[in-house]
Amino acid sequence: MTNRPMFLGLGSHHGDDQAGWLVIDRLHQCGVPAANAVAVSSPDEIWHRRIHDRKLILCDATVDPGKVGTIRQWSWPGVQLPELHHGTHDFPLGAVLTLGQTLELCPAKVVIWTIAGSRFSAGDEISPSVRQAAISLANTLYEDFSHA
Amino acid sequence: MTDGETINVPILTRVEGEGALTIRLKDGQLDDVQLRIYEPPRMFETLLRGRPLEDAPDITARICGICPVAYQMSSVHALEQALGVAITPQIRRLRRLLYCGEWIESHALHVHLLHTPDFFGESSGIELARRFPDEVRRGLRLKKHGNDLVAAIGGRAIHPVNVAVGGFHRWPPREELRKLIHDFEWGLQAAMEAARWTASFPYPQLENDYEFVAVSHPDEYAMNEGDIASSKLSTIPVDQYPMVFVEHQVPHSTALQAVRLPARSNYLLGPLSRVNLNRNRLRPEARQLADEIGFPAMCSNPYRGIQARCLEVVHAYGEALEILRELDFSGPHRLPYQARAAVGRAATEAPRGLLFHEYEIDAAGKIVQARIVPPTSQNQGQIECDLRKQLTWQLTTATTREALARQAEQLVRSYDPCISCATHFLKIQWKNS
Repeated sequence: MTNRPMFLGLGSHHGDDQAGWLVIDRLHQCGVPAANAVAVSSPDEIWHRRIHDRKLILCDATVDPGKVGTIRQWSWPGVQLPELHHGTHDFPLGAVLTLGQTLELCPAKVVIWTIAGSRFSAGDEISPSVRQAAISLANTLYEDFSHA
Repeated sequence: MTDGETINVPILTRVEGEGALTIRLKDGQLDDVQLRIYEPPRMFETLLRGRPLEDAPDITARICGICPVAYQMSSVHALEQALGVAITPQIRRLRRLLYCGEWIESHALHVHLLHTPDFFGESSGIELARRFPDEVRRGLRLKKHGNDLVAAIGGRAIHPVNVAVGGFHRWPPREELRKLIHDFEWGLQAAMEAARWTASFPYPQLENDYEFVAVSHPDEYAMNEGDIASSKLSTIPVDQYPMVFVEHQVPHSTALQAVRLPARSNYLLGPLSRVNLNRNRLRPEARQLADEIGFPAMCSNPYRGIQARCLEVVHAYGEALEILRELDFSGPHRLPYQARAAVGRAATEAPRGLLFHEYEIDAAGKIVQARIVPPTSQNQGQIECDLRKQLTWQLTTATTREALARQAEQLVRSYDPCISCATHFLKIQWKNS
């Protein structure tokens, strides 16, 4: 098992939902190899990354009652992840992690970083505070990565 | 929830979209059963009016995240018929390859995560995974193959963007497709194992005298082209669909239901109908497998739809491999056309069954009218009919209300209903005060 964590950024092109992808972009700029930091569109990509024996760090935008741009850290399991979207083509993150753990397709423990956003519609620009938060989070994660 | 006279399943789980089931009893006998679809109507036909015809494939794809390719295929074929465009064999093959990807991802999902838990009394795919980890892992890989194929051709797995009226916006990268061959060789064998697995399932006994309806083609297992075949009436060209199948509204559903004229009877769409009507046009490996697992000729048990899905996954892998090994991108990727005032109709086979599109366009290439009839809305009446039959029989036995509800939900799931598709439109009557 490598000590180096695997970063996955969840996102889309829509407004603040780009936050996870921006974190990954920034990590690449800092020098994290592409194999260690990947931008994905759907949580179920986790199943196919062969990372069950690695430390997994997820970065995602979230709808959060707090201030836009607020960064929060979650540890899974042990936290009830919000499952706002139910659809069979877009498995909610909690279900993906539970099924992945059951099938040994993802690690038993996952760290999740979220950035609170407010605009998620097609054509929306990313909020300046979300962009800033994504860069800030990536810098912090890179510090941890470079010392792992 | 049950209160003695009414059994409510307030939210159907492991189906696409949101629906419910209400079973009303009177003096211990079945009084009424309603598959209640309460998702808000989505008005896609209205949205298309006045738009350039080129918008139709991408807008209609948004009706569904599971079967966007079906909407793209039905829309481009209907519009090409209106425009008098005859696509090349190369474009035709690439469209079949794209459809194979969608069938694989949709069917693999339904077989492994949505429907199989029912046969083992498990409440979810996660519970099933604890009992059958290898099988569920296999299902996830199959689903991913389907998604990868759609993404390689269409640019992305959900709501692909490469399909165009007249062909494709571009030929997909050849190497991206070739890279899939190795996975698909594994997938073909894995799909056959999945079919053998489902042959061992304990199937509830329910037979119905269905009218099976599906697109049928003399030379191939129909996906994009063919006439409309029926197990009870003569085959008709797709152009005659509106004269034979009509939609109507029922109070308990935001999705229109459909019936077959002249008797206004229910009919069944989907994999069971397709395999029953077109079994001899399945690829040899799928046909032989159907014989090996003892899949009945003209199977009329709706629960065995899961086996038909598996046979179609085998077919789709076999056909996809054949096309992937002989990629031919010679000729134009998109044919030119001149806009003209016309009407075009097409029916293709979405994973859940026949999907009909009709467009009227004007001389400037704008959409004047659009009509979309998805498979789940057409199947609603048949689902309720099956529920009535099952419940009527079960009420003569000592089945608990909870078991009645559970088995009714299982029966609904056997159709793999896509409720989001079904609620694309609501017929509105405007009244002047």
